[in-house]
Amino acid sequence: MNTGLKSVPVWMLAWLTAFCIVLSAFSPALAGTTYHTRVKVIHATKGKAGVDPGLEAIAREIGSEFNYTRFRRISEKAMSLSEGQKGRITLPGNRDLIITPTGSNGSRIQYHIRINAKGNPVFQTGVRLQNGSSVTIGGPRLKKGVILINIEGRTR
Amino acid sequence: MTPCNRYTKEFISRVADNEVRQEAHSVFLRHAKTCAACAETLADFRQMGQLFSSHTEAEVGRIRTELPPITVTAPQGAQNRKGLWGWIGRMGQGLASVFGRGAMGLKLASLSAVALILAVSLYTWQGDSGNGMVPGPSAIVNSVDTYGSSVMIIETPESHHTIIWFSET
Ligand SMILES: [Zn+2]
Repeated sequence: MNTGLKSVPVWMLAWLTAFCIVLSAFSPALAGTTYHTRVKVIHATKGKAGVDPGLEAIAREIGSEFNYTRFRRISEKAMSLSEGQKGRITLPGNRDLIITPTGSNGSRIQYHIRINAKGNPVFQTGVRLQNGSSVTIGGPRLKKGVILINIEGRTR
Repeated sequence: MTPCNRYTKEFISRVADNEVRQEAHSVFLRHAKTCAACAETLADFRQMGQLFSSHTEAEVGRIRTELPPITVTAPQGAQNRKGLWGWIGRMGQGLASVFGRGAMGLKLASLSAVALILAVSLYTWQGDSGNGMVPGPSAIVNSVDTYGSSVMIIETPESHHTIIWFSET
């Protein structure tokens, strides 16, 4: 074996190994942050009490501030978005939700969120969401109740 | 005033919310100096943000709210990622001056840079893991635009969950 390996000094091999380790550790960062974004669309009414599985926490939060008692899941969508990439969700009543991650400092994720009705914006907000936590937007009317949109975001 | 096709309202709203990257932000501001339409839209969005802050505080006095001041910093993450390689380069150069010039000095410096980065990244991961939730509301609301309808921002007392409630007109 007369390859060049013998002539490569040990320190260089050590350096290369260290470099590869670090490179692999950083590859997610180099590939760009992925914003795992989960949107739950819920119909809340004041009818007979009942909560769909998985909505208990939201029902508790909303129930403590508003008098809604019945929570039904309309849809749920998980998206992996890159920075600046728009995620779209169709809402009942000819509405759309457009959510765009615009940056993160590790502990908080910045999102731009817009709701359109019949193509026209009716609501938009910029929030800094705790990484791994969620925010609830409520208010759009739907059949004797309201639509709740729970948005959860995390970068890992 | 002639309408402007160069920037969308959404983009300008994001400029007002400081959600746009530094370069794009500056480019837009330069444009707005000579474009009355864009300058006016930006002023409107900024005013709306201020109106919103005072309006909400008055309206939801009984409910505990947290509406921190609108910050002027660009998203830190975006800057960090973009400058990662530049940063490594700068750090290598900086360390080279410590270890001395020449090939050997530079190699030593690079190796140290790698070790330093590894230490910093491990430290960051440790800081983020566990139940290292930052204190405060689940979401800090930088801006809201409801196009005429009213809005309330609520932070639930126990779990500090943020609820943004708007009533459609
Ligand atoms: Zn313009």
